[in-house]
Amino acid sequence: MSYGDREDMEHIPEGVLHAYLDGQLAGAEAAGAPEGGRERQEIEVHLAECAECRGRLEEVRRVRDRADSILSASGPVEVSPPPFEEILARSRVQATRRRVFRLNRVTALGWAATIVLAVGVGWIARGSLGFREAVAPEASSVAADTVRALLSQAVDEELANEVTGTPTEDQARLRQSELAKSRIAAGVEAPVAAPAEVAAQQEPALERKFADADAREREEAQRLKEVVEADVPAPPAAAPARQRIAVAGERRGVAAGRRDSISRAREAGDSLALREQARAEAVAQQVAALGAVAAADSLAMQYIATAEATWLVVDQTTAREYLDGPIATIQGLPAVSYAVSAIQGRRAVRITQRLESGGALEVIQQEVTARPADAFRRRVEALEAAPAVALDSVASVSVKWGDYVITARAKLAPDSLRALLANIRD
Amino acid sequence: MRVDWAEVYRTTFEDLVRFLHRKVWDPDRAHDLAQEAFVRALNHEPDNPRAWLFTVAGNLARDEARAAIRRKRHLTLIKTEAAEQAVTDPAQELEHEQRMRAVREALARLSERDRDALLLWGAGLSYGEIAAETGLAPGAIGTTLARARRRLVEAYDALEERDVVRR
Repeated sequence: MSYGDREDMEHIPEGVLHAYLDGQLAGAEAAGAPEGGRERQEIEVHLAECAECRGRLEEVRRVRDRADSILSASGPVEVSPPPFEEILARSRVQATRRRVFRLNRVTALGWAATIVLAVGVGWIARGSLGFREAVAPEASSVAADTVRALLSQAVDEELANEVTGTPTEDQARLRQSELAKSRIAAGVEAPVAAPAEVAAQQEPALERKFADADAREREEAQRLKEVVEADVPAPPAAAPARQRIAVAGERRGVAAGRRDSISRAREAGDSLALREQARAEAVAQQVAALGAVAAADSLAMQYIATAEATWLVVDQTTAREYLDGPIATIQGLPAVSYAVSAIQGRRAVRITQRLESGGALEVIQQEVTARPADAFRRRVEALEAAPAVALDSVASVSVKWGDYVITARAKLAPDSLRALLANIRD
Repeated sequence: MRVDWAEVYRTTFEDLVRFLHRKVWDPDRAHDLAQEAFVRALNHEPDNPRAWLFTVAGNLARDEARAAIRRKRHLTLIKTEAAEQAVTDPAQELEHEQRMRAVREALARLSERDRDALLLWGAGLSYGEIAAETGLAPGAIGTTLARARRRLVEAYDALEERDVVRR
């Protein structure tokens, strides 16, 4: 390109003037490249002959210098780089932390997806047990939305933490996260299908219904096991996440882990569920007839607290948001897991804490009065498979605490439970 | 050929910190993110280590901004600095802070592409490297910088005038 060869040729464009002053004319990087050199020569020839371009060059020089000084005025005063060894050390620490974090997080996501799907399966089972009234899906879908948002957020945060700067790697991760999210969404949708099934049911014998649900449960359990385990192997290192979920999983007796724990829990559940379901239904209906519960330690209140409701395992923040109030825990004992549910239209939160002996302590917190939005319903939140631990050896004590009833359950003497409940704090 | 990251660190760290500082406006965060960029770099063998570092650093700064918004922490540095002005002490520190604030505001008035090109040039990248990172054609870098510089000067002058009037 040559400038000003003829009268009507253009003058040097502003961008080129900047590049000229920056020493960045096309091809200038390659040392001795004829192109860069030629363009520079042509410019200088033109400048020698064109006063206007000379003036414009000075103007560009002024702007360029000013911009430089403005920018340099904004920098931090002192930048002393620490020794490179610090970078190496930091890299080592991070590598270890990231390995553990990734295992726990991805595994927790896998397990969480399992739980959500398990809830879906639970709905089907519940519907088949032939309750007189349809099970209220709203409470579960509220929790399901929360869990879905929670899981999506976890996927996003995982993605953000893995910035490498390489477009292909980032894209691959983005695809992975989209896959995970769609799988999560698909899993959470499962419960919605259940009520239709319930409506279609008549009222056959309890045993036959339970057998049907059993077969369907097994199918579902197998299917979601494949979905989860295909992508998310459960390494032995991921003990904390699995333990947390297993506490809830065993109680429900649906797919939360390996095949043997499923069948073990189901066996326990089979015998107990039938017995307990009828009892729970009767008592719950009595209490429902009473309206809001008055006495904290009434037998009915105790029983509802101990009836197996649909518990959705969540994290502490979600539990807090769900309850929209202070969460009671026994001071001094570590909290292992949180779960939420709705019992008789009242919100409930269950915190599992670890006793000093190592055993589990469940602290179930229920609202005393139903919220207007939930509408007090005469419905029994379903009985699911009872825990592997026989119901009889678990003691249960309830106390009133502000607007809530707190029920503590553990394999302890009632006096011990009462003593523990004296240490409630939010 | 293995990248000698120690050497790149020696020659690039300061520029990286300054570059980041003009994005996150926090010297400590800039320092930390610069280190973080190097830590992530250790596992890679890019053709152009310097340019690659700036890409990573830019991503880190951007992700940090996003995460902060998600956690609802707004960097209202401009407002808080104005509030602190009432109780600030020596005139020099005040002036430096004011100048920083003015630069920040002026930079904010540029388009993102213009601002990035300007900052990358200020960090020492060549036109070719800037083109690779911003996605612009190499021939367009000169024009982009021309516009960015012009607008920066105009905005900064306007802000200075406004501050003078205020005082």
